[in-house]
Amino acid sequence: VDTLISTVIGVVVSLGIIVVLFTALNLAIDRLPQRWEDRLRPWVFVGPALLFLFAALVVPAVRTIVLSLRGGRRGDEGFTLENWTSALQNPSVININRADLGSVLTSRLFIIGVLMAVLALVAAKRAAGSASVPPATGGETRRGGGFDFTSPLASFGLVVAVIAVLMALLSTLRGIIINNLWWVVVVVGFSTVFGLALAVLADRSKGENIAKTLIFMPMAISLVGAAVIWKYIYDAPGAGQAEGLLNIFWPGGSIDFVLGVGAQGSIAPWNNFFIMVIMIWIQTGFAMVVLSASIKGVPAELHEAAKVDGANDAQVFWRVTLPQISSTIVVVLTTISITVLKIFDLVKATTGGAGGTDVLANRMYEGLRGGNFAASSTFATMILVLVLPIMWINIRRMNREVRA
Amino acid sequence: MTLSAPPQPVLGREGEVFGDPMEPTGKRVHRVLAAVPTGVLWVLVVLWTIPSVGLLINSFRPARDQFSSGWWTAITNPDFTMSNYDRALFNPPGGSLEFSKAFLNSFAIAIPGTVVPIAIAAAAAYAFAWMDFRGRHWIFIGTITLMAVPLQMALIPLQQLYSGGAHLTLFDVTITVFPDLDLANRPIAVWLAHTAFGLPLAIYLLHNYIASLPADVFEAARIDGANHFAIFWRIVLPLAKPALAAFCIFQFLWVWNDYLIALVFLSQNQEASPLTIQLVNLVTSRGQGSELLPAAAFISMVVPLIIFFSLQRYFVRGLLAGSVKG
Repeated sequence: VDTLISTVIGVVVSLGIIVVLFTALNLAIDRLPQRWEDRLRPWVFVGPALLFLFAALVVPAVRTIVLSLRGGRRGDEGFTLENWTSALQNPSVININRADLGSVLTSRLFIIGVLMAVLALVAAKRAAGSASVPPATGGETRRGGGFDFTSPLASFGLVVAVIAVLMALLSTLRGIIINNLWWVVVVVGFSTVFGLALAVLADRSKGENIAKTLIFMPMAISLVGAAVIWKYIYDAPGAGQAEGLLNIFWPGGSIDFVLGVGAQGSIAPWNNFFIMVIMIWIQTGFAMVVLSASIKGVPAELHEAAKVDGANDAQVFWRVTLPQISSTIVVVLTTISITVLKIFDLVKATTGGAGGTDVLANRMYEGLRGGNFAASSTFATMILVLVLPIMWINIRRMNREVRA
Repeated sequence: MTLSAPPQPVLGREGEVFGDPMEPTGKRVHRVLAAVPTGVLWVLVVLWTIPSVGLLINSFRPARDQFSSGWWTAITNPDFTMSNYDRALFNPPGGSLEFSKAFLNSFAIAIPGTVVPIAIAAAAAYAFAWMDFRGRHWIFIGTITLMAVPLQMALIPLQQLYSGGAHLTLFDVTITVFPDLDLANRPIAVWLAHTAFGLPLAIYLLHNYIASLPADVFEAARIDGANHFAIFWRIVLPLAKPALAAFCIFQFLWVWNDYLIALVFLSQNQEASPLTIQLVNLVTSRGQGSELLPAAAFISMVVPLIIFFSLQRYFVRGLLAGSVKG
């Protein structure tokens, strides 16, 4: 009851302060001459928001960058690059081993990737030879002279090849920065592809809304809650621990999928993948909802025109629908990338960073908790650096949007 | 599964478009093929739902059953109890906080963390949409760019601000910019941070909506002698209700589900900690009361799920309008 009363008081008082201040300033401005009134009033409207953002986001962000460049655990000594050099030379942060890089070339994943790439090229060549859709249907996205990657086989081959090669690379390299990059590639890739597939599958099918609601549901719950949900899929049976569903499919049936350890040996580094699956489970719903709205916005006349021109449904999807929703796909990719780069809750609640699953945001938190502010700020700034390219894409898009 | 999915709906639509009555055999084939995407869809839906169902089932199973057999065996051998919920809510093991209290604590953070940013953002969004001032365009772009800044960038300085204030020293003179109010480890520390972190999205979302209101409404009001202040209160706020609702739901779920900010600013204060923190404490306690975990997880999810299922329309609207939050 105490909590409730103090909450109500807190809300009323803070809202009261905002409303009274806002009203008082506006009434004061009413009395000023017109010239001053026009000049000052906008700042009364935007001022409180800008003040908050400045004090709680802009200044702290700059301070964090400065802290990452200072010596001493609390960042109270002179400027130095030591935080950065020691972090980047730490094998647990990033470990690029030349010998490992060599073994990438002979790994199964890499070979699969190369084979798929060859297959994609052959399919693209053949598709280009038999292309029958006239350019008038719009959305022609041919790349290169004699290759047509818009045919289903070629584009799948290409996607699989890229994912396989990236995963071959990332599973060989070690370190938390690599983990973060791996998270981006796997979660962003799978969530978007699943989301697009589900959006298309659900479109105009029976029970569309129920299906979409169930897929979308994980977006509503916390990452911490999601981690607990998946415990009953991944856990190894043991003292005070319930058996997870996956263990009935696993030989020996006693592996902890997130820590990657079991009676039959280790599955590292693939245990990372099982934590990523939880994030894919959540983000697919997001991708599906956003892409589905976009697909429904494609004018029906475009489909019909393409059909009249003799395009089959595969061609309509790859050459009309997909180009039409490409800007939405970019939004989905960038949004999920930003979310995933800061991933913390899931790792903290599943492994706490053990078993080679550590990520930048967890290191950042560990540093903060341990009072090592300089190191912590360095990890925070690393996340920012990884986010910057995506921010740049966003700024350009928003600038266009706002000006339009 | 992923890789074979996209081209299939194509067959489904073909059934509709080319389902010509002159070709009965072809029509039948198409009808069968048309069922394939629906089948694949529902297989995926079932796969997506299994984990949640497992948690729900386990939350009603006695400890002995939970640890001796998987939740899926409960389908053939049902034995359910409410005692997990009862104990998690009112009598958790090892002196940890009751989930009924953590539940209220979550409200104590999420309600101000939703209401306060929206009050501040509404005025700013209106100004960015309909008022003229220098630098409006780039200040707006800068504001919404902050959505993507990882909030990890703000945590350490904010923590220092909360527990020591902010002081500026220039030429041996120290000015206190922000007094030490001893905010650390109080709920206000958490929802103030959420207020700041929620503002860019709130401004972006509300701006998009308010900017799309018809200009004649504002013209007419101005001719009647209303100034911006009057227009904002009497016209914009009532008209922007759908956008305000969309943001409220989005922000409420965000704050309710947040773990990191509460962990940083509130973890030393057990009594005030929200559900997410108590849930992770239970996860990491290894053994002690872990039979309560599924029930506790459901307690933490019940409010988001109710909001989600009853107000999904608004949630989706918020998501579509501002799908760039960092």
